[in-house]
Amino acid sequence: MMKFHNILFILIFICYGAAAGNAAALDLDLNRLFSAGKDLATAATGVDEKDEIAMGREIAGRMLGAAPLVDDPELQAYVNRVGRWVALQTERPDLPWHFGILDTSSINAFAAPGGYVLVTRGLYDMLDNEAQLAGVLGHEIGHIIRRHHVTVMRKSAAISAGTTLAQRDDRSQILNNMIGAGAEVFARGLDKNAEYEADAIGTVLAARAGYSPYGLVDVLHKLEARGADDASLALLFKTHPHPGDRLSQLGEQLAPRVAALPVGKEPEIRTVAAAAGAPRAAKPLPAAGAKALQEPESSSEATGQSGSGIDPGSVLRGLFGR
Amino acid sequence: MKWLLPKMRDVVPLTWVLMAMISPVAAQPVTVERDTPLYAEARLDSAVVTQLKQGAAGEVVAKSGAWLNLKTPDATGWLFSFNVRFASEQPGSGADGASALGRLVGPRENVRITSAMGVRGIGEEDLREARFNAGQMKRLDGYAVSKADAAAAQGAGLNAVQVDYFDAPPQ
Repeated sequence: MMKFHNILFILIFICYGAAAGNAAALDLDLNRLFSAGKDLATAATGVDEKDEIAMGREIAGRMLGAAPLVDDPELQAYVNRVGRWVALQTERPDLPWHFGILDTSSINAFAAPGGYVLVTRGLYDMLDNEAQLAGVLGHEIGHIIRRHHVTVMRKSAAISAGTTLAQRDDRSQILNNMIGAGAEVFARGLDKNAEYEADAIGTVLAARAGYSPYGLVDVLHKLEARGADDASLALLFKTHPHPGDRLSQLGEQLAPRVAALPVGKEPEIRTVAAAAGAPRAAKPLPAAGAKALQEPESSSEATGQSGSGIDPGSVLRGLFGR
Repeated sequence: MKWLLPKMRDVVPLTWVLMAMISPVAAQPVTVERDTPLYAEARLDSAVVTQLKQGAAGEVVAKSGAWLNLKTPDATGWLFSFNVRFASEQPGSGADGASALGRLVGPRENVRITSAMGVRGIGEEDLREARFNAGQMKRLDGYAVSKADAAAAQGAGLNAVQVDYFDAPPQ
């Protein structure tokens, strides 16, 4: 089974090329995709929950192929308890929620459709307390419950043509195009409102779960501070939503609501076990990579074909930003 | 009287524990982003010292949860952190997690970002070439917890409360 989903933190990200070797891992029933809606959400997006989960699983599996989980079972179980507890506060508590910490010093987080949330160790290590973790996970959960990725796919030409995949002989290619088109829409920044929406949802979910509603605000301040560290990051922030803008948007929504919001708690956060070792270092950014950040659409080019015809290179996005 | 000494020493760390809720920081310049009250204490039900206007400048001297202790030329008090923007540092200044701003809102651990790729995360090429990792996925599946287990573990110390989505239609 496979699926697709994703989203959030500082940048956009996209990923994968896939390879023919994954055919066995892909079991996406293309005939199910974009067929008649079974419920309102399906009608709105053309993708039902089963397909959503299948795509998300494929994407998450490939993400794990790029960076493995931190070798700390207790930490992973802890993050799943926190994440599932936050997800329980949503209207989609029964999705197959999975949470994981990726062993990389990169700072990012991702959501894949259907309930997959992956946070990098680099970001996790920045967090001061569990309320901040809840805010980050809540942001990703927000992308998933609102089906932001699926909505973007819906904007693609293939879908807008109004033809269901099941009716097309070349549905595999269409699906591939749709995902690519969706990623491009994300890359061009048309979905910044989705990021702001996810920030608001993450804040609300953390509050519902009993945490301080302001953990995500803290994280955004941290991210903004990091952005000034490096000239190359300043370049990045020129082409992607700046954490400061997210703070402004979130602040505007919080200001009139502070009296109604609970104070909440800021429990201690679990630290990564020493036995897990140091995080895997991120690679230096080559000059060409910096350029690519300015031309995000260029990174959506397919580099391979998966067994399902999905161009994985266009599917994943960074969490805290696009 | 020697017996008093160890007890006196014990008082110090206890005081530190009590004061830990408020973390003093090196003064950091901020700009108030929207009109907001400045409170005498880090509580909404404390007295309002003054009303700050958008654009007002001040220095943050302490932090307590979501609250910042702000000093302006005219007043000192507390406000929510989302109401301010920290003065940005100049790119290329060599600032990192040890900078003044970094000490206030920076990483818990000294995670130094040395390149954009560090923030960008896993390299683009890594992702492009990544293949579905069945072994890691199996581990991820194994770490998943049930609704009941999550509720039992987290619900023990946290109280779920009703909070509407910000975009929810008015009741």
